Amino acid sequence: MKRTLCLSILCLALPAAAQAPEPAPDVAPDAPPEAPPAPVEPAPAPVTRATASTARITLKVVHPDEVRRTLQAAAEPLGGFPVLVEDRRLVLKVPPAALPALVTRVTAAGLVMEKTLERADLTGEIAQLEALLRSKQAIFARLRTLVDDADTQATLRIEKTMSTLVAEMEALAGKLRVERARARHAVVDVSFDFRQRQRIVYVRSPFDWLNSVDLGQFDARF
Amino acid sequence: MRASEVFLGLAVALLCGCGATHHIDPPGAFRVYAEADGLRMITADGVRVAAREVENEPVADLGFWVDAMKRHLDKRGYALVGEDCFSTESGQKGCTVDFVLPNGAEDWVMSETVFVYGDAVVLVEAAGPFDRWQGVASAYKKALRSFERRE
Repeated sequence: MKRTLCLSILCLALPAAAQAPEPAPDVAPDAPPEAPPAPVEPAPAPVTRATASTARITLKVVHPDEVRRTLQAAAEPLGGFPVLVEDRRLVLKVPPAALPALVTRVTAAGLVMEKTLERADLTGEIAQLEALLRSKQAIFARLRTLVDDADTQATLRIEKTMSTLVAEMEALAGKLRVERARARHAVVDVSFDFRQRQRIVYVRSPFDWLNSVDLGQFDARF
Repeated sequence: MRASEVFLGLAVALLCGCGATHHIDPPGAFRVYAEADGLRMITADGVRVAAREVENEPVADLGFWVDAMKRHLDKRGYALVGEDCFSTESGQKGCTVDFVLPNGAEDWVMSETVFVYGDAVVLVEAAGPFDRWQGVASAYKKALRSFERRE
């Protein structure tokens, strides 16, 4: 029974362990039960930085439908794909290396009202999640070695702890997947609306004639 | 007509700069109002152009006024979308500053071109709904190179 439970927990844990780039050596299923728990290895230094990039562009165009189709087509050869297509909005994902090229294509397609580029460094967060996952995997492996020699009460407690650990490892693995996915693709969020300025306010200029530069007054003078 | 009336008329004309006229080779889509006071042009779909003069007071150069206009209209909520400084065919320096602003349910473009002639600032103003403006913008900007102020 115990063996069956351990196996099932291991089965659950293995996909989570597979998310870690370098599994800790003590996760190996063939570790002897009496082996002393291996210390948690420090996370290896990341070779490349993981960055989540998002470009937000508000574009004024005469024919949004046409431009939307053109941009979707432009993203494809760059390895991009649409993740949201609406009448007045288009969200594309592309490999980070293709981001400048796609942004250039987007900005050339109309009048740019607003353009922002956000970059978030995920390297630290990913390293932290990986370290946390490795640490939990190490604890899990140590607990597993204790099951064989434990009495019924202790076994129940260990099994409960292991179940909690499996859930935590799954959650961590999920977060890791999300963060890695964010780094794998840059986002280009194109809005065809002009939403930043919703109304015109009256502000007096110290230069008199500038107060007459106004659409309403232009209409009246014409 | 009495001499005093003639003098008054001349004085008013000089003060408001009405003595000068403005000329642009109209782009193909525009038609000129021949009887209007000052330069007035319009397209069939309603994009309008008008020129006027204001006093260059305090006396400042083109860069100053363009900067002041951009700052003022930005505060008002006009979105600056383009700036193009150029020389006309007669060698006069001018700057066109384009803004977009919401007007009812539409977005409109307001294009302000500034020339400074001594004590006068000449404004060539154009406005129209965004999509219609896009159709004539290029020809209009090209036509601005032909701008002339005639005393």
